[in-house]
Amino acid sequence: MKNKIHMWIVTTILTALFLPILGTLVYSLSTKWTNTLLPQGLTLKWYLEIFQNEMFLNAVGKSFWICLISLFFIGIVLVPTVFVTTYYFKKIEKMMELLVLICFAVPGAVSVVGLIKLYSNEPFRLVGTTYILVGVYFVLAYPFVYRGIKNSLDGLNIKELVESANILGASTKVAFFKVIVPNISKGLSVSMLLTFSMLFGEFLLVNMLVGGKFQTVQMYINSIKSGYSGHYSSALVVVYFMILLMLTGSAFYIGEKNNRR
Amino acid sequence: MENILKLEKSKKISIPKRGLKEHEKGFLILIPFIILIGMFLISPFISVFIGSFLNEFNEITLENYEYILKSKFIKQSIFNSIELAVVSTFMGLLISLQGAYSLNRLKNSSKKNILLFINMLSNFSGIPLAFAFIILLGSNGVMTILLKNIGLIDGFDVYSKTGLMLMYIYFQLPLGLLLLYPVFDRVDPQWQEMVNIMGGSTFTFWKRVGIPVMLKEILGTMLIMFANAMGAYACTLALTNGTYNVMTIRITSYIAGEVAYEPGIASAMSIILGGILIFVVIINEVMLKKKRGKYEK
Repeated sequence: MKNKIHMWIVTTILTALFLPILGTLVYSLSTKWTNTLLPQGLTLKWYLEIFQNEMFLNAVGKSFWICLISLFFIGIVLVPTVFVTTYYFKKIEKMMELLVLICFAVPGAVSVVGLIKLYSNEPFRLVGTTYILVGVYFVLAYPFVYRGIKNSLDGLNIKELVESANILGASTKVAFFKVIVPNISKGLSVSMLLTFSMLFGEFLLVNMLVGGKFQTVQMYINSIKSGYSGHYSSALVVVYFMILLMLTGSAFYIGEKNNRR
Repeated sequence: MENILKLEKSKKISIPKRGLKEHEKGFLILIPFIILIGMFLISPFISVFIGSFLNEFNEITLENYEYILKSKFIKQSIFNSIELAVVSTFMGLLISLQGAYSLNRLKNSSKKNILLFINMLSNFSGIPLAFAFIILLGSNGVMTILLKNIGLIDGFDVYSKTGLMLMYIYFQLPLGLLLLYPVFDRVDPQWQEMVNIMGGSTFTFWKRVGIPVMLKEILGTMLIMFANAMGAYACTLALTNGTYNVMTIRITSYIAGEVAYEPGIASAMSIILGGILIFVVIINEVMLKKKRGKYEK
């Protein structure tokens, strides 16, 4: 009996959360829908239009590209950093935790003000280029990826692992690449995928720091406010959601596989 | 355990030289991280702080703050931001506490799938979210038409404060559910039985045992939700076309230069926004200490 109540509560919340997406899905599949209870006809026309639109495909490509580069950067910088602080510098570790809090607390609108002031002029003219995005995405992703790496590292006894490798004649560097990295790679890829879907949805920073020149998916969706039909834009939202579904789904799949082992 | 400790100590004594060298090498690895954080987190923040005290001739002044104090428009944006953040955090917290609790009571197999969906929804934000809201609740929206046809409503204005509030609560929910879901692990169901046996009601249990046990995480979640709402920008901009006056939209309008280019005022507003968040962090800490003291006595 009690279980049923809980089932109802969860179902209600989930339904409410999915309502905007479901409504958008139905609207994107309809030919015309004004002032009638149900849509007047069903069609896939809007989806075909989206996948033939070069601007959209370009935007998806650009979003993927910039997120991949940023994540690559985050990975090669952050994994050794977290390892080194956990292994050698316990004091710096506290600082890293504090930085996580600061990254959470400083809203994008605030850092944008400082970034524009610092990097609009020589010698670092970064505003308007995509280089600046790699930097700000690093900061944006840092709290999430840091937690992911740290949790995986805490799951291993790295001190013992590295020391045994040392005794067997391997240097700490070799131990890091051959023992530590393979052991955290699954946990790392899960947090990377989840961070990817977060960066994929970034708008404020791209809009303010790079502007219309670099059109990511969110920028594209924002740009079609006028001139396109509501059906087209709702199909776009559905496609966007499907991409999120793929990213989050694969993260979950990898995580599950990891747990089962 | 002691043996391991001894072993570690003896090792440290036996290879002191190598340890030192590796320490130095280790520090070199930290340099790229320090540069990136310095360039894109620390120095922008310092620049905002300094910039908030400079006028257009680069002289040190309090003009920017004075301007904010006098401007009704800016004060309104601060009030609106806080109102949206407080109400959406509070509502979001209430719903997600109940939701997370109910989710914990479900069977394992369905839990995982539900968590996957919630995780996905937590990233459904910004412009697409605002679009989905317009399509669902706009004047010709799916839901609006349905309810109108049934005769339940006369019409709904999604571009109003109510619409905005609904959207804020919407994007707080997945966050709250994800953060609070694991917290209920700390409450043993047997405790409730014990309280009931001793004659306490379910309400007493939650008031005296359940909530205090989870207090630290609940307050932490509140903090993240509050910061999340205060920093919201894209969805607010897209839903109201920038006409609803909130802090993030005001700040960016002062540096984007569409209406006015006022970096000093944008900086001072940023410092106020940051200050509000820091203030909330401090209140959070104080409340925690107070409660902790109370229950430890």
